[in-house]
Amino acid sequence: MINLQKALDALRDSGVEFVLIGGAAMVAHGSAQVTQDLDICYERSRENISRLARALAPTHPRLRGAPGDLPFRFDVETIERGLNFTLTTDFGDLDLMGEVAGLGPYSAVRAASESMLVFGESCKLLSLVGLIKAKKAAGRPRDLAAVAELEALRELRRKLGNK
Amino acid sequence: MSRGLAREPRRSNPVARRAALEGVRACPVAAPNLRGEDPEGTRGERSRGGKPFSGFPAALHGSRNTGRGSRRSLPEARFPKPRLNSINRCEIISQMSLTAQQAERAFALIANPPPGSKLAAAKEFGIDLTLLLANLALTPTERLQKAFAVAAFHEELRQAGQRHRMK
Repeated sequence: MINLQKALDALRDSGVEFVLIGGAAMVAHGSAQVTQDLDICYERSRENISRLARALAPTHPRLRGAPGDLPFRFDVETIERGLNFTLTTDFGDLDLMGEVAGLGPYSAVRAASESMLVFGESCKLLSLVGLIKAKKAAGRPRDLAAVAELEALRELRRKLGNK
Repeated sequence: MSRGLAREPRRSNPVARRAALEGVRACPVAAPNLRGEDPEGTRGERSRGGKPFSGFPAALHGSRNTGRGSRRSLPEARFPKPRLNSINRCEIISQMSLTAQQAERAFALIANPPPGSKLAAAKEFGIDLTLLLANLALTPTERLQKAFAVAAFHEELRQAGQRHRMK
């Protein structure tokens, strides 16, 4: 189970450029999903990757589901060679995505994001429209249910005069 | 009437009041913080008791079902109490999604979604629209706290089920 506040604080304190995506972003928009991990899309510049590695190093990130004895070093080189990582950290399960299906790399994800106050600080998270695109692109059966819910939320907001 | 027996549920918000008027039993959604903690003190009055989440028994048996609640249940929309001079008050003012009027309108929309609308499609799909309404009355932070508290409780139940099966 992710300690959301600690995880977000660690990323924000280190100045990591990221957008909150996935279940947590859906929940922040009002979805009734229950999510167990935190998904973020991170910027792939060397400086940001370095900040990301520094932010997460104290939380002992390891590959989720991999054998315990599999050697894994979470550093700049590893992140540069990979793209998406499903990790277990001391804060909980954390998924790092270099790009999001249906949207593209960080720049596109950021363009489809909006800012919200989360735990007292501004946080970028994927907008309802962006989430709908991403879920449609993922296309798994559970994503179809998510799309129906997100579309309903979007319509409800529109009819109520909210953004 | 004897005191200390069934207490009248709090109906200080228009959605609950309307539910009462229409004779629908207001059913609480799973409490955001199932251990009863409220460190921020911003959640205001919470419903007590009520029907447990339909996903809980499944979690005991090892399911990862998220337990989205019964379609028949009608949660009370809750309006967090603003606290003066706190960051949470700023959040409530800037990001609280529903005013009382909007809550009324939203209730009407989810009770009778316009035919052909996305709301109607979602209802048809099996989405419990009342849960969305309850969530929209919270701040984004509260929505996240609630979702992760429910997930933590599911995890505890799952582990309890595992321990039970290993006996």
